[in-house]
Order: sequence, then structure tokens, then C-alpha cells
Amino acid sequence: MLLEVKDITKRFYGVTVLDKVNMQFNPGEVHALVGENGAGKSTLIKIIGGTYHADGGSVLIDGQKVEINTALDASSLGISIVYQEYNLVKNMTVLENVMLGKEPKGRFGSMDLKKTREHVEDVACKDHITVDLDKYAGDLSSAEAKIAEILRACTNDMKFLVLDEPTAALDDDDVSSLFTLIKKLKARGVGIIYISHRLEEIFEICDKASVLKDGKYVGTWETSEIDRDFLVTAMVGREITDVFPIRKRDHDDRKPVIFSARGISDGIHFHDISFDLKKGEILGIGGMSGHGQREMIRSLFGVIPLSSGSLFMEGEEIRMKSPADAIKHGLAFLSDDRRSEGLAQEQSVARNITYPTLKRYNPFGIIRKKKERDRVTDLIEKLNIKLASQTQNVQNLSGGNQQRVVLAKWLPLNPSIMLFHEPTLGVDVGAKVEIYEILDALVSQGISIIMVTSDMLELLHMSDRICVFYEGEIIAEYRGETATEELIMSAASGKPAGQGVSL
Amino acid sequence: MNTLQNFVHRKTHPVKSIRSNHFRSVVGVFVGFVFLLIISYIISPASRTTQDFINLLKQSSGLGLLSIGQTMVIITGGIDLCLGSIVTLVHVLTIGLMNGDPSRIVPVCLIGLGVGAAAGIFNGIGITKARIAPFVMTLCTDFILRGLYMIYTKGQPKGVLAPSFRALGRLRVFGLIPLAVIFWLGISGLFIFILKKTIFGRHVHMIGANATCSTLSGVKNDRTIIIIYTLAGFLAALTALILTMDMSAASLNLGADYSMDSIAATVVGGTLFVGGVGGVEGTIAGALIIRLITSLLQKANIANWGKLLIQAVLILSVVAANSRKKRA
Amino acid sequence: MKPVTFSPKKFLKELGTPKRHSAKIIWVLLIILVIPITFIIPEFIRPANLANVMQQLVPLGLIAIGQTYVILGGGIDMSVGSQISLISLIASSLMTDSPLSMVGVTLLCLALGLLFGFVNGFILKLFPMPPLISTLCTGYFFQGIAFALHKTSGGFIPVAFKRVLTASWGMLSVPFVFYLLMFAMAWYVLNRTRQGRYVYALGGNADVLEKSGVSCAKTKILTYMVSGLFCAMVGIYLAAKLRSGSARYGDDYTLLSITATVVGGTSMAGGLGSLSGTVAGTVLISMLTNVLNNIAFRYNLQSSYYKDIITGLLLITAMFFYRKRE
Repeated sequence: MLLEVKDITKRFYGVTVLDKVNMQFNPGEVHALVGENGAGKSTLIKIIGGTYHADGGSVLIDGQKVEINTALDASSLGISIVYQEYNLVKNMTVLENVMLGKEPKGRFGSMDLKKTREHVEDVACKDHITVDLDKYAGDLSSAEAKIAEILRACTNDMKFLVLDEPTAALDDDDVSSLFTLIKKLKARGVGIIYISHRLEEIFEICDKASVLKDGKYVGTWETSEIDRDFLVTAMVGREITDVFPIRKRDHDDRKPVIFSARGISDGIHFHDISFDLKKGEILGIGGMSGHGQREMIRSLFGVIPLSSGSLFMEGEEIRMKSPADAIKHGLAFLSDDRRSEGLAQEQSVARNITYPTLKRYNPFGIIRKKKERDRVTDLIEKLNIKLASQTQNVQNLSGGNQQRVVLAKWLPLNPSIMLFHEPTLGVDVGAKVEIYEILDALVSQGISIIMVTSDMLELLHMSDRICVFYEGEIIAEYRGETATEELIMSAASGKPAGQGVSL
Repeated sequence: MNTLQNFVHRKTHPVKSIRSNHFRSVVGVFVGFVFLLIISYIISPASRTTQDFINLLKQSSGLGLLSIGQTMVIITGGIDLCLGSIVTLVHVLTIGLMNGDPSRIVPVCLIGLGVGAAAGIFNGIGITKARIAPFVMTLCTDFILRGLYMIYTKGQPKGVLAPSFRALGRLRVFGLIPLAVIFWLGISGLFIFILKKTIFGRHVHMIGANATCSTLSGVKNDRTIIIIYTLAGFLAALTALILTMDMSAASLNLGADYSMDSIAATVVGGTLFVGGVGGVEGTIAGALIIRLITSLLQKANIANWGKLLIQAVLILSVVAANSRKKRA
Repeated sequence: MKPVTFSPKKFLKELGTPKRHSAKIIWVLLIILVIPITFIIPEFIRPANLANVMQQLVPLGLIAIGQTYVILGGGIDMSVGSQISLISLIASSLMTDSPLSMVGVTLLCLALGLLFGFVNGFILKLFPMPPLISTLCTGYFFQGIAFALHKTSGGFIPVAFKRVLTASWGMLSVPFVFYLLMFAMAWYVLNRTRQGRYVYALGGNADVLEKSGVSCAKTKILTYMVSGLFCAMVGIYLAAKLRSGSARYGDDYTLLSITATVVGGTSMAGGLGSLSGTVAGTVLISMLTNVLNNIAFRYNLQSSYYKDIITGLLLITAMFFYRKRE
């Protein structure tokens, strides 16, 4: 079965996310879909999966146009998708989740529970997938959850399996099980579409690689005929050296320590975390997603309470019970989730930008409209935010521009420490370059940055020092200039190698 | 200290002004009111007098005043289902405690306002500290208040107002405008200002638009939410006092429809349940429309049930229309 | 299904962190409460009183089943009370002495209940909006019609009809047996059929359900239809019991059905809870009501006023107790 997309176009709130994309996927082949964050990969997958509707173009199977309007359409055509986002019902067991919608019928309209279990155990056995069927989905680790979702896909009659970032939370053993499965499916004639940021995986398991850049199709190549640098250049559209500013990463030990953590823990997601942050440095936090980084950085901002340990600002211990406290101590937090945390999408750009600094600029509680407007215009100019008017809703801006609005929101507070969670998630390449320049400019003025990121290139090129998380603890530390992708990846899998930097 | 001094300037796009959707919907509601008014004049030509219009204003002032609180609550993404019971409770308390004694007017009014505020604080605390959904919390408070005023009156509300208090109900500013209308429009104006031009107002809107974003920006949401519900309770109590001025005997039915009516007035006035959108300006026209519909129905003799039907359909239509609009 | 084993330690642990079938807490609480109650109100244990409680809890028990379905699906039905009132009025307006009429009107009312529920669900399908608002509005709408139909004479229900619906032998009564039957059927549908599981999924993660190829709108409509059906049953029952219809019969039932459901451990967010918990909640409320009535009788107070306060406080307490889950 040949799967094709022709001239697929998709727009969100006026921003073009996919622009006349043409691609072909063959059965029995592992086809990688590569691209930067925001390039449109997930959107394309969701169109094939029936979650989104394309604004233009069509999907074809064996040359015939097909209508995929619902998830049911996709699965009845034999297309199974394992999405990047968490897609399980927390209060149901793995078994119930896996067979949701496909439960075999029993007597008197009931479900045949025995048959259900047998079927799933069969598939799990055949495909070497091990997961506790009776555990509630809400109790699974990120890795187990992903495995459960893969199992769900396998219980369908698959002609195509789409995997969107399947290995983000899997350790080495799980990854090799997954690859074994993929090889088996390939041998059975199933076509695999594989989305991943991990380029070495792509060269390991995939036959072909297609690149999307800023919503446009760039090209498809046999993985045997290209190398990593070629792929990266195709993804980014320019030499890697043009993306990241040349950072003078000095490790002057005389630089004062501005912020420290000693043995902090939230009791659930991370334990015994200790680090020092020097003034003017960028501390990168790496590791697979779901290993406590998200909670840790939020605990530094007073969002998640600490069950033990202490935080120190310039040597003095500080207690933060809320973001308001953190802001008072000079911290700023830029969330990875602009939609539900970072910005109020349906409010104007101006309102979003001025919100944290209302008290500072309007001491009597009454808002001075003209002064506010001027201030916002100034910030929009300085950060090069592309928009029609400062009164328009944030929702209509592209990812890159939205992230600039987030920066415009925090910078006027003059923070001494900025906490970034995925600084360029969903941001196009052009904006990325500018944001990296901004970050560089900020640290050169003495602001210190802690940056949690899953973008390996970003981690390697922007950090002065890197801490790698594994299962809620810092497992290794490296200097920014000498760290490599292999070192980070091994540490992230729990097997740190190479020289570390002691605290 | 400007942290971006060294940053390179780039070319910027010209700034155009975009009219907000909310302004358009407010204008729309006022137009709707005028339209409805014209229809009512056609149906009953006798009502084309200034006096009749003033009466309409007076009848709308209780609902209008009460709906200010409801509007603010809905902007924060909540809802208040106990306002009607606050009105009834404060009403029977006022009449019951005053006992015709003019020296009691001030203390009794203060007690009434205190009761309203207390109910509001109770709601606010339940919603913020106990994390109970607003509709559940205010529904429970509604039942509790109902029990309270039934226990107090034992089903037979008694008491007499002091004559000077009742005189306030007859007071006409400039010989024409009732005190109630002044209260309503004045306080509405105050809250329009607060919501549009103060930091507190910005907090109210942002909490409704994205409460998490508000917290992460360093604002203590809980404080604002408690204040809002307290204000709603306070304004409900104030409404009760103003309505009571006009009455000679206590009625257990006084607040009956007010909860629903205030929701209708707010929604028709352009405030959406999604939160973060809306304002008291529209609610002024919303209250007028609801009262006009009520009086038209009374003239047609289908007051009670017709009103419920029409208001239900009205609220549903407005919310439904807005739900479709959101499709990207 | 998971094999059921009992271990005291696990039991205690589960008491503290309720999972999907968290009825255990409430049943334990109920059993514990009986002791002080018997001390304060010895009359409670009398068979006649118990039989009374068992009959009194049926209307609440029935609509709470429907409300639980809706809440499990992530919604809420605020039109419960007015549906009951409206159906009671329709039944008492149409019914005559003939057995054909009794059966026919009953069937008609049940069908209307299904229709009302369908309307509730269908509105949500057409116009995505908070179910609170839509059912609040349909509730007002039904209430309006009820007021229009309300006559001071109250309509007519033949004695025979009442006798059939309220017959009893000792502790057992027709309504109670009927309730047990309905509970059994509802439990079976919810826990043993696909549709029932979809209700849990709808409340737990509607997105996943949709991606699994099941129509969320259809499942949602079904939950509201179940609720409507039970409202109709209660409307008919109340009309029969009191031999008249009224626009006020259902007044308290909306809040009470939510209270029974929440007290029984069902989460307002959806996807978590059980019918047996709702039964426990129903029993708890009915017990408290009965105790209240007995106390009020003893001290010459009007119990209905206090009932409102207690219901409100009970729901607030229950939500506070369960707040960690949300």
C-alpha cells in the first residue's frame, strides 16, 4: 500500500504551518521525517491521522484520493499512529486503554474480557512488547506509557505505523526492543514513518529520510547516501555555524556564584539535586524528557514545593512559596507551554507583555494608557516582534514571535536569573537565530540562565556547562565546549562516560 | 536599566489599530435594546412616555446592580448561583430587624451588607482554598442561605421598615431620577473604570483568560478571586436594600429569579463564559433588555413561565453563537 | 477482571488514595456512622423507620445513577430537577383510570425523558459549550414549561396506579426492588459493556476516545439520555406517590443528585468513580435526612429548612475531602 500526500497545506490562525507538501511513503520501508521544531512534522502526521483537516491538498492511498476526517477513518485504512503527546486514559488499565474502541463482543452486549486479554497478550508476545497490562495508565512511567501506546498500535491491523518521537522517554534497552519490532514490521510489509530529533537513530534504523523546513518539503534521500551534517544543513537551511552565535564560553572560576541548589527534592520527580550557577553563564539541563527536569526548574520558581533541600541566592538562603516570591528574588520563568502557561492566547500582545510589570509602572493602581502603549511599542521594536498591532491577540502570532512576546514580558522585570524551559520549542529557524543572539546578549550583560532543553544542538552550542538528568538526579556534568552528543546520550540513558566536571 | 541597549535594531512594521470584538458586541447589545424598545412602543403605544422609560430604568436598576458582581465573576471564569438567595436573606433580615425604628436604619443596613460580603467571602474561600468549582460552591451556598432565611422567618417573614427608609425609595434626583437608578449607573460606572483602567481589573481579566499564566507572572490569583466574590455578595446585599426601600411587606420570593436573571443580563451583555472577555458596559444594556422582556411578557400575561423559556433560549443562543465563532 | 484479594494494609492505603472504585471509604464511613446515630436516635433502628428510609431513598437513588453517568462522562446535568417536575405534571395531566392509559402514559413519559436527555446531549454536540450552562438553560426551559402546566388542582393519578407503584411487604417495597434492579442493570452496562467503558474514557480523556474511533458526541448523548430516563422514572413515581404533579417536585433534586454522586467518590472532572459509591452516597444522604427528620420531630422544628443547609455543607465537605485528586 502506497501512502502519498500531495500539495498538503495547513494554516493555523493565519500562520501557514504546511505549504504544499508532497511526499511518498512505501510499504516495507522505514521512512524518517526530520525537521526542526515547528517545521510541521507533527501537523502533517495529524492530517494523515485524521485529527486535523488540511486546508489544501489531499492524501492518496495507492493512487486513490482518500478522505481522512476522523481517527476512525485513518485506522480503518490501516494507519496507526503513536503520537508524541500522552494519549492514554489515566484511570484505565493498560489493557483497557490498548483495546479501547476495539473490544471484542461477548454475550448480552457485554465485552468479552477473556478474549480481549488473550488478543493483547498474543500481540505483545509476538512483538516482544513487555508491559504490565493491569497497571493503571496514570501510574506508568513515561517509558512504560509509550510502550503501552505502541502496543495499542500493534493490536490494529496495520499497513502503516507512524511513530512521532517514540524514543524521547525510552532507555537503551527499550529502544533496541523498539528497533527489533520495527525490523519485524518492516519484514511483514508494514510501512513505518519515523519522526525523531535523534539523528543517529535515523541513520541506524531508517532507510530514507525526508526533511521539512518551515512547513516546506525540502527533499528525500536514502540514509545510506547522506551523512549527519548534510541532514542538519537541510533541516536548518544554513550552516550550523550560522545558527548559533559564537559563544565565548569562559570558565573563569573567579566569577561569583549567584544561585545555588543544595540537595533539593520534591519527593516525587527529582531528588538530591545540587548545582551552582555562576553569574553570566548558561547552565544547560539535558536528559530525556520525563526525568524530573520539568519539575526541577519549576521548583526553582516556586511553582512546585520542595520537600527537602535549600536554595541560595548570592549566598543567602531563600524560601519561595510562589512565583511572586521568585520574581521578588529576581527570577524569571519562561515556560515550554506558551499556550496554557506562558501567554494568554486570547488577550492582546500588549496586555500579555505588561502583565507582570503592572505594579512597577503604575504605582497608584491606575493604568496610564499612553505610557503603557509607548513602552510596549518600544519593546516590540527592540525584540523585532512581527505583528500588525499591539492590540491584536497573541494567538495569531507565529511560534517565534510568540516567544519574543514572552521575552518582552520578562525582560522589563530586570531579572538576574532567567529560567528557560525549551527556549525554542515550536519556533522557526529565523526566530531561533535571533533568540540565541538575545540569550547571548543577556548573559554578556550579567544575566544568568538555566535552560532545560531537549534540543541537542541547542544544548551543546549554547551551554557553558551541561547537567544531565537521569531518573530525577544529576548523573553527569560536562563543559559546554567539550561535550558531545554521544556523551550526553549515554549519560541520559543512565550510563555516563567520559570526564565530568565535579561540582 | 535597559537590558537590550546593545541589541541591534531591525526594521519594524507600521502599527495599525484593530477594534476589539468586545466593543462591537457592546454596541450591538445597546442597539438590540433600542430595537426591542421600539418594538415595545409599537406593541403598546401607551408606554411611550418619559415616565414609563424612567420606570423601566428603575425596574432594571436592581438587576443591573446585582449583575455587576455576576459580570465580574464570569469574567474570571466562574459563576455565582447564590446571588438571589443573598437578596432574599438580606431583605428579610432588613425588614425583620428594623422594626420601624429609624435609629436602626444604619446598623441594619450595615449588617445586611456584612451578610452579603460574608457569603461572598465564604464562596471565595471555598473556591480558592478548597479548590471547589465555582458552580458547586455557589450552589451549595445558595442552599445554605435558603435554609438560613427560612429558619429566620419560619416561613412567615415579619417586620416593618422605618418610614424614613421607605422615603429613600421615593427619592427622586432632579425631581425625576430615582435613587436606585443613580446607584446602579453610578456603581456601574465605577466598576467599568475599575475593570478597564486599574491593575485589579487587568488581574480579573487575565485570571479568566489564563489563570496559570497569571500565577506564573507573579500575581496572587486567590486574593483577586476572593475579592470578586465578596464584591458580588456585597452588591447583592446592596441590591436587596435598594429593592426593600420600595416595599411595604417582606416577601420570600424577592430574590427568586435574580440569580438566573443576572446570568442572562451578563451573557446578553457580551460577557462570555470562556473568561477574560467582557465588561459591565454591556451588562447595563443586558439588564435593560431582560427587564424589558419581563415587562412585555407581563403585559401579555405569560410572565412567569414565558420569562424562563425566553431567557433560557436567549442565554443558550448567545453562548451557542459564540461557541461557533471560535472555530479556527 | 483483576482477581480480588483482601489485605487490611492495602485496604487502608486505598482508603487514603481513592482510585477508580473508591466506594470503600464511604461504605466504611456509613457503617461507622450507624453507631452514633443509634445512640442519638434509637428510633432509627426500628424496622418501620428503616423501611421508610429504604423507600425514601429510591427517587434520589434513581436520578443519582443518571447523574453519575453524566458526571463520569465529564459533564453535568443541571436540568434534573426540572425534568422531574415536568414529567410529573405531564403524567398527572394525561393519565386516566384505564389500564391502557396508565401503561401508555408511563411509556410516553419514559420516552420524553429519553428525548429531553437527547436534547441535552445534542445541544452539546452542535455547540461546544460548558455542559453547566447548556443544562442550566435547558433546565430553566423545562421549568418554564412546568410552570405553564402547573395547576393548583395538581392533575389526576388513579389510585390503582399509586398502589402498584408504592406497594410494600414489610421492609421490601416495589420502589426499592425496582431501584435494586435498575442499579444492577446500570452497573452491568457501565462495567461490562463497551459503551460503559467509553463513558469512563469520555470523562478521563475524550481526545483518546475520539482517536480510538469512538464518537464522543454519541457517548455523551447517551449519558444524558440515561439521566433523562431516570428523571422520567422519578417524575412518574412522585406523581404516583403524591397522586398529583407539581412544578416544584424536583426543586432539591439537582443538588442532591450531584451530592450523592460526589460523596460517593465520583470526581467532577470525569473518568473516576463508581455506581456503588453513588449508592453509598444516596444511603448516606437518606440516612442523614431521616435522622434530621427524627430530631426535628423530637424538638418540634421544621426539618426542611435544615435539610437545605446540611445538603450544601455536605457537598462542600465532600469536595474538600476529595480535593487532592482533582
